Amino acid sequence: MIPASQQPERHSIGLAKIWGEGEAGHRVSLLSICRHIVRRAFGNLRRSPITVALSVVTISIALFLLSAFLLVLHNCSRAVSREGGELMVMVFLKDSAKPGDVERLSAAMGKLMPGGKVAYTDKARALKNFRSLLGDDAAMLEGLEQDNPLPASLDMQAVSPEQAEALFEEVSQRFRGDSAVESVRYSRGGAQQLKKILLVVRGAGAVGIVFLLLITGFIIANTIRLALYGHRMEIEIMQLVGARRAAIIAPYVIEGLLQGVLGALIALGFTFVIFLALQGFLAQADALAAIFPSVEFLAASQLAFIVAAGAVVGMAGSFLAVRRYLSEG
Amino acid sequence: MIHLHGVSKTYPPDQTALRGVDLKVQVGEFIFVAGASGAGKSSLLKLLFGAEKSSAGEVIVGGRNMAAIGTDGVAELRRDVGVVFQDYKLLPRRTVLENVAYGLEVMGVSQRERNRLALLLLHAMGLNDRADAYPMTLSGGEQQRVAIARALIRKPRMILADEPTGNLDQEMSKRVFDLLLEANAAGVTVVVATHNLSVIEQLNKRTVVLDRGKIIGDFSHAGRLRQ
Repeated sequence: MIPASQQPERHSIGLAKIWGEGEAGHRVSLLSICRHIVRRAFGNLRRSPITVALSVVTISIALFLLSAFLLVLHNCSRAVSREGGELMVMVFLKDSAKPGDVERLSAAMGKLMPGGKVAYTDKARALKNFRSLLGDDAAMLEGLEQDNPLPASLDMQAVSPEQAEALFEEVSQRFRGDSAVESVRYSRGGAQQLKKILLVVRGAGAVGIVFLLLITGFIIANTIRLALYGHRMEIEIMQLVGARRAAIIAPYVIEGLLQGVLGALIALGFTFVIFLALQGFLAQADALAAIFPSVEFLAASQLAFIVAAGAVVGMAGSFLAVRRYLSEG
Repeated sequence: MIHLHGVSKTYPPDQTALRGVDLKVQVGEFIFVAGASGAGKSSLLKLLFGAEKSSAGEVIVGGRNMAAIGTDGVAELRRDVGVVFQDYKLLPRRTVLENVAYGLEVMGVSQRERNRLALLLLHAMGLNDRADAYPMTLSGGEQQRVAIARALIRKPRMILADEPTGNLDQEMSKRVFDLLLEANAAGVTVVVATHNLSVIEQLNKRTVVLDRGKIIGDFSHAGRLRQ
């Protein structure tokens, strides 16, 4: 044992006094912890601009694909819906039908589809409609005003192929034998076709969106994981100094949320630019303009969906990446 | 403070780091864990701050059974324990002041308060002129003192130091140990893992010697270790 007199002189820093001064200041409120977590999230963004930019660009690209897909789907659905004119159930009337017959049949048909509207097209109107349908070839109908062969009709518009089919069955059953009714028709082929197209469009849309969301989530989780690699030492030290798991994860989840929302906004901005370009292109392309006479940008609910998807995917990606990192560490 | 009973640690596939270790450390004690490289010193320390779980036996630190506490329990424990490593583990993109204050930052202490305390500590340690510097610009001894300051700022109940002077010259080693001794004098339990016998002899504290994972000696002071 070294005698005390021979031991080297020790330099004291007055630790006990410093600790004494610190005692009062260690009051920690939930608010200060939350403020600290948010500040850390913004601090992380500021400290790693390159990795943050990489994550945001990745999120933007993935969400651009999603929003472009939604844009196409939205306008295809609109184009298909416009073909809904084929979902008209028409009761053609005999020339001998009296105004009373029209009223009676109209009232009876109205009861078959609550809320539905029954429109009466008289013979002159039917000829006018036919004329406008023929366009430049309407001249061939010259002179038919005196001896109009087209019948008057009572028309009901269905909203879906299923409803049109059910309505047609009902109307046929009730009115086919009526003394004022010539025939009952609707474009069964067109309705079936429309039904198939809608099924394919909606089915492909749902599968496509789920697939794109999964891909987006996967890409974002891996990008954030890569970005987190630069924070591995900070995470290790946070664990070392006693930060709770939630306190370690939370700033990164907030960071993921901010990156996701920013990425979504950039993706939507880019989609809008593409939409404007597409609008100009369609205005010049006659063949496409016939199918898509007007294109529409995403609806408010779809815009909200993209931003929410960015936020959720950003948060989930960060959460999974940090959690995996912590369990590996 | 520390109670190990029949503790073994095996890393996959079959590398045994500790075998049947029994050890008791009282509150306020200063103890060296000595041994050659690979003797199990670092593994022992890792068990004490919850970085590893024992494969067998019981590890109790500050009244907590380490096998029974979850991740939040480990976090709770680490708020009472300052850990110091040979490679300092300072954040390279934060200043000295921020690194020292970091121990309080994760607890949510306000920036003003943690900076005030960190500056007090740095001033007392003669490092106040380096407060705005980044760790990479500091010498090894300065970096280690910053790491110790980070551990001390929260008034820990225990400090675990793994080869804290492994990379330092004699003068710097002395300054580092002066800090650890002062913390110990203020009531902090200190456990230092080292293979440096001259430091052990100089400080003349209780020393536990490990060899291939087993405790082969527990000496109340360095004189007995020499014998």
